Amino acid sequence: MAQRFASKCSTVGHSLLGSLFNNSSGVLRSSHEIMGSIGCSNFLSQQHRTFIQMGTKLKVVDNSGAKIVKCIRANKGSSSKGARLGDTITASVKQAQPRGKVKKGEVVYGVVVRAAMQRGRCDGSEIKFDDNAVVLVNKQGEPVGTRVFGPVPHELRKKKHLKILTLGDYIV
Amino acid sequence: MGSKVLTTQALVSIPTQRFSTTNTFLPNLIASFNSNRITVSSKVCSLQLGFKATPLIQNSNRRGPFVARAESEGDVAVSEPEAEAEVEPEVKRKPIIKLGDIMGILNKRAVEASEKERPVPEIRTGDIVQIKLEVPENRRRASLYKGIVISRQNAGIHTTIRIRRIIAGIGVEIVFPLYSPNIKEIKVVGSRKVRRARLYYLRDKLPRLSTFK
Repeated sequence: MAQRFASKCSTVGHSLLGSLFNNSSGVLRSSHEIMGSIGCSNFLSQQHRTFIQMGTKLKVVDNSGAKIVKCIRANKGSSSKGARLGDTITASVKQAQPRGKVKKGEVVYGVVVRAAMQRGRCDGSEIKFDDNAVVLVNKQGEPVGTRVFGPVPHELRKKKHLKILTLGDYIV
Repeated sequence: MGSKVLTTQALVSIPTQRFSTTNTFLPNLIASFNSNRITVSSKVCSLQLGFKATPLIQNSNRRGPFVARAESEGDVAVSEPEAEAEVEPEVKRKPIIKLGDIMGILNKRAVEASEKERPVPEIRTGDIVQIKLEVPENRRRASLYKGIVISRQNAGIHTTIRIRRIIAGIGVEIVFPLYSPNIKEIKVVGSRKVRRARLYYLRDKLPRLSTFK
């Protein structure tokens, strides 16, 4: 019930609730589980992940200097509901390392390399990660940093982000 | 399709009715039977109707002598042709395929076709499996996916398993369709004792429990 309410709110564009539900907060999830045990159907007790939209906080997984960015806009390639795995977003740097290529408060572009929402592939398989993460890029799509940490999906190959694919340590 | 099935059902039932009733009912049934037979033969295009037409024609030929015999002799004569005619449609009759069974039959056929090319081992929740995948997107041979099966959804040809693993510090869950032609090999490398069909609790637990070398 609370999830449907949240999805309705996010379509309207309330960033607060959107970020609350995209970051897995233990308090909210435990209330879902209580509701699940009372009598709701089983799938409600798990979080229903949605798109990356305005207000979503994402981890930065390269060495560009930023640590956490907040999504401002899901760019043109993504659907009207938000960005998914492999899409580009415009974001604002919320937390940055002291000596890095980007500073706090800058508006940057990023490519979503890990998303908690499952993404279907053309052979019928689906992939999902445990967190949301971006790699900062410039307007042309080239990565700002020189290293990428963690696994990267091979959806990036189709989106022509080959540089990020080669920099990543594990292609899922 | 449904209407054709109904007419064949009606046709098969009519001979049984006919032989069990008395002579007074016979003319009516014969007349109705005749008309039905005519309509069926005009629509003969499915396999079911094709082979059913022959025993019916034989029954109609025998109707003349049967009527004469029934009037002259007793119950014995009635039961004999009844048994003969009954045996023929019984032996040649296939089970009628109902509309609701079609998806099940198609799924079973597709699963058998896929099993012939690559046999799928028995996989249950809690097994630790290794999957070799060959995807045109990734071009080069055999991406290897290892992990614990946290759920299995049975849906005919789209039976899927969900594999969880911690890769480079991040938990990754991938859903694989078991009968996909892209999967080159599935191997069960271990098993863990679980008391559940879906191991979604692993998402909240320590990463150590989902790590597999």
